[in-house]
Amino acid sequence: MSAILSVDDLNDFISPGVACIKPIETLPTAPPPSQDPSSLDYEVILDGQPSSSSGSDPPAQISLTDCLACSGCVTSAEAVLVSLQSHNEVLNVLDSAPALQLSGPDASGLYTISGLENSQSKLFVASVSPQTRASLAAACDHGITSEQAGRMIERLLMSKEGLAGGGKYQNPFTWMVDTNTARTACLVLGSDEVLGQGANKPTTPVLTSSCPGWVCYAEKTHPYVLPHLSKVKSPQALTGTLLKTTLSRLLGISPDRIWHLAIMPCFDKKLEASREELTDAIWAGDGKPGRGVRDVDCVITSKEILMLAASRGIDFFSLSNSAPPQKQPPFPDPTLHRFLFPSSQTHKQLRPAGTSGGNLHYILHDVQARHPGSQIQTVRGRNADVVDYAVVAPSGETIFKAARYYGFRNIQNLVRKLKPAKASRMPGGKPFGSAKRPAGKAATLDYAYVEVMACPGGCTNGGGQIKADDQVIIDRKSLPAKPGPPEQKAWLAEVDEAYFSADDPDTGVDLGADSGGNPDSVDGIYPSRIRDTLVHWASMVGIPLDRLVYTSYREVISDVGKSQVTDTERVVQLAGKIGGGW
Amino acid sequence: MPPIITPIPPFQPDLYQRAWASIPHPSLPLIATPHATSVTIFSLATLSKHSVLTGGHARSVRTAAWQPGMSAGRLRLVTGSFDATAGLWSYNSDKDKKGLEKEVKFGEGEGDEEEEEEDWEFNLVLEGHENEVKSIAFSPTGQYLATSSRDKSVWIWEDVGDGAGPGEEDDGGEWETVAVLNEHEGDVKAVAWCPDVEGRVGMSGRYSSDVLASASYDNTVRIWREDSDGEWVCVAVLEGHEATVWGLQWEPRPREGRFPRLLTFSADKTVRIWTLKVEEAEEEEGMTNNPWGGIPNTMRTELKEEWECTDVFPRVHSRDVYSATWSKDTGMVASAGSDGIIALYAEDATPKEDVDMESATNAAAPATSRWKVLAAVEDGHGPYEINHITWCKRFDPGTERKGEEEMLVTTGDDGVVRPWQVRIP
Repeated sequence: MSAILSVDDLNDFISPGVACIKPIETLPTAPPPSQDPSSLDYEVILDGQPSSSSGSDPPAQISLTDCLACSGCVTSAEAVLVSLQSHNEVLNVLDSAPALQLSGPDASGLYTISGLENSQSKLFVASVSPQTRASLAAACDHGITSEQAGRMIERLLMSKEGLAGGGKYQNPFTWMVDTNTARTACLVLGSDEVLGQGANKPTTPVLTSSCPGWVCYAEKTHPYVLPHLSKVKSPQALTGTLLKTTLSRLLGISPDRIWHLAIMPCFDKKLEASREELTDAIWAGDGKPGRGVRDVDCVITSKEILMLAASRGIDFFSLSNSAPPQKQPPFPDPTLHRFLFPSSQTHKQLRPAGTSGGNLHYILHDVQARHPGSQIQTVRGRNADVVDYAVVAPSGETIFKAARYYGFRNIQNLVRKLKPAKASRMPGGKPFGSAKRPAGKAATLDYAYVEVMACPGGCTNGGGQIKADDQVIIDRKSLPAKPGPPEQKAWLAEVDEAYFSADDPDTGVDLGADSGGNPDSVDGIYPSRIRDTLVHWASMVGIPLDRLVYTSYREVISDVGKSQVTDTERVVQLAGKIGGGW
Repeated sequence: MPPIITPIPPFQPDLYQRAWASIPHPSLPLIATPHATSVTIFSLATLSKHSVLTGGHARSVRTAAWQPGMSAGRLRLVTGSFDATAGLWSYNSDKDKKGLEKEVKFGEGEGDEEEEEEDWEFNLVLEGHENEVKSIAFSPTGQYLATSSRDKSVWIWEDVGDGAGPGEEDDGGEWETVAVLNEHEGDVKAVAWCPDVEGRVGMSGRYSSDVLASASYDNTVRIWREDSDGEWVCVAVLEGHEATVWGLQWEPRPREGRFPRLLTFSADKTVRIWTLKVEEAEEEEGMTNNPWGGIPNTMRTELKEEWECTDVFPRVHSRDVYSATWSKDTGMVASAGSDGIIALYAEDATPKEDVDMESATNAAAPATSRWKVLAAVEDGHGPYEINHITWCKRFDPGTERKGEEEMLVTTGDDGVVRPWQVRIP
């Protein structure tokens, strides 16, 4: 699983005899052998190569979408393909043509776009995750909050002292949004999905699907888990759909004219951005996944922000962290503007919610809000990344059970419990293993919801975050040359601290359990307002809300390792017959 | 001078398939030999077949381990296979089988062998590895099971079930993944847990007492321990071998109060011994209550250990050394490998304090090696490779000290499991 993939981990280990699933699909059927008697009787065909009689095929093309989580040669493919979404790509795109210019708004709030005659020109928008801001804030001098780090990123992307001061065309980004805003919608949608009675509800227990490392792993290795995955899009995906649908509609431009950059804490988000389920084929086309304009065009990681700045000779840490003098233009729709750019930070990051979006935490509080007087109980599991939660009524009755499972080894245990009974391999078909378990034991997995994340410790510990052993941190924090586990833990604690910090360092007010206060709000979010905003969005762009906010998953089926009797297999069988150890 | 190593008639019958290892039971007179997709259990008393485990794996079974600490009459064997799974099997000799009262008396093994397919029950499959499982091992108490694979990872599993009570059927237990350790850079060929010996506790206070070692295609051996947060971390990387390290064994009876040494053998044709370097401060204070050994906390930035290669055995093998075994009783080591040679080594009794430590790590200076070759047998299995060698207690009629005298058992590509008598004149 590529959950903790970082640039340093990539190597070219490709198992011998492994076939790539894609070229097999694109090879035409071999023509019948030639009747020419002078042709060779025998022809040596090497594994995976077409025979010489099949003529010249165009080279098989593999895109990142195809390679998604195929276990064939994913190590080197990821290396190549993930690098296509890099800070260099950002600079190349910025340098490809002058950006579209926005003028207005006029009296009725409409903008006009100029520069469309150049087919390469695009409108640049960006979205930033809170974990990225926390990572950069911790890397700055002590005391910088993630809000301030966010302003530094804004300056980098939009102001003259940043990227817009250089490059071929001095192209700035026009809008930069916080994925936290889309996240509030994801939380409400996620809770409605679990607690509601919708026909399309995933199978219990519902599992969080915002972590692409987990989703790719499930699609590839444990497809029986897919019916359990929440259908709600991740905040990155939802932000992408929101920006592309609304801006294209409101500005009258096609979605491929909008270039959306997302800055995320992990590399797997690059894979998520390439999913065919997250393109305009879903919302503008026939609703089925396909090649189309991506909702998110490029994802770079927190580390790559520093590389992006350095490539243009900018020292990120010297950027001012006060609000840039030039405010972002108002979003073309006032309701969405209020949604994307809230005037005050209405939803503070709460520690118990963790650093991965807080889906579980929100649902627990939503349940609690619906059952006044109930309590949330927490039981830690066998390690820090496994926690059981229960919402218990005053009478002592358990209303709702949920859990958090972070990290690969814990996901193993979760997935094992979800596995359906398998037909026995023994002669006679006697069931064994999980099938043999008496029905009562399956009750141990009676959660209604499980928050699953690939990275232990949550997204602040993502693969793309700045780490304690990065030279920039060793230099800035005067760490020993090879930071060991204690330094890494201390660093992660600093990043978490920045993540949970408020804008104003003085107000260390802990919101705590405020569900007893305003009955309309859960954790500072007003679900009814969110739902209204979503309905407004759907009607404004004329697309059913389902197509905008929900996504789907599909099993990745690869030829690799399957028992088809290929030539290799036959050799293996023969070797086995003469006593070879295969 | 009478020969030191003499062959004893081989275990019956020939397996006619490549056999990969022979694992003696920790206490009972049984030995398990995986071959092709099955495992044959031989009785050490009669040197003939006791039972067979078949059908649970789709591909070659390469490794097996007996679960320690089982109650009387119960056996549990774990098999590791190239089909990327580990299988749990159980055998209950008390069980009444379909009304047929089958008496299996350990030590006599005269039972009727026709129904051996029903003796062993395949309880459980441990899945998770991406490809071939190369090695499995139980921790000394049986609490943890380690598995290693060509996918470069080592997994640690724990049985969190209630266990079978007396009279209850053994259902294999309920297993959970405790850790997935990803730091090797190649196929992990072997894993071994440090046995529960006196010197093991070592740096208590920082780690729990279980220590795991793994050997890999990446030419290194790694040592793993569980820290105070319950996380398994790699605390040492042993570099020195020039090719794949095929396997390793912990010193079964270390010298007084010392941490067990590690025996490794490799495709570079050498057999080596590694010793944990203990800080002088710790040595002086012995087992202090202060877990930091008196050195200030601020100076101990890394929770790492240092190991060094203290011995390289005199060169005997001309090809890969696939296996070596260290006797608990006599301290002798025997090795075997691709060249079909069985070699026997013993250590000089004098401890090495006075020898210059630098020359000890120089592999090209065997003059300081304290190990000498006692005997070597060529073509132990004829022209076939020897895949495994182990010390094993004798229970057969040829010994006067049943359960005490040790012999060697080698397993080869010829499908024959050969016992060898070892008598030092």
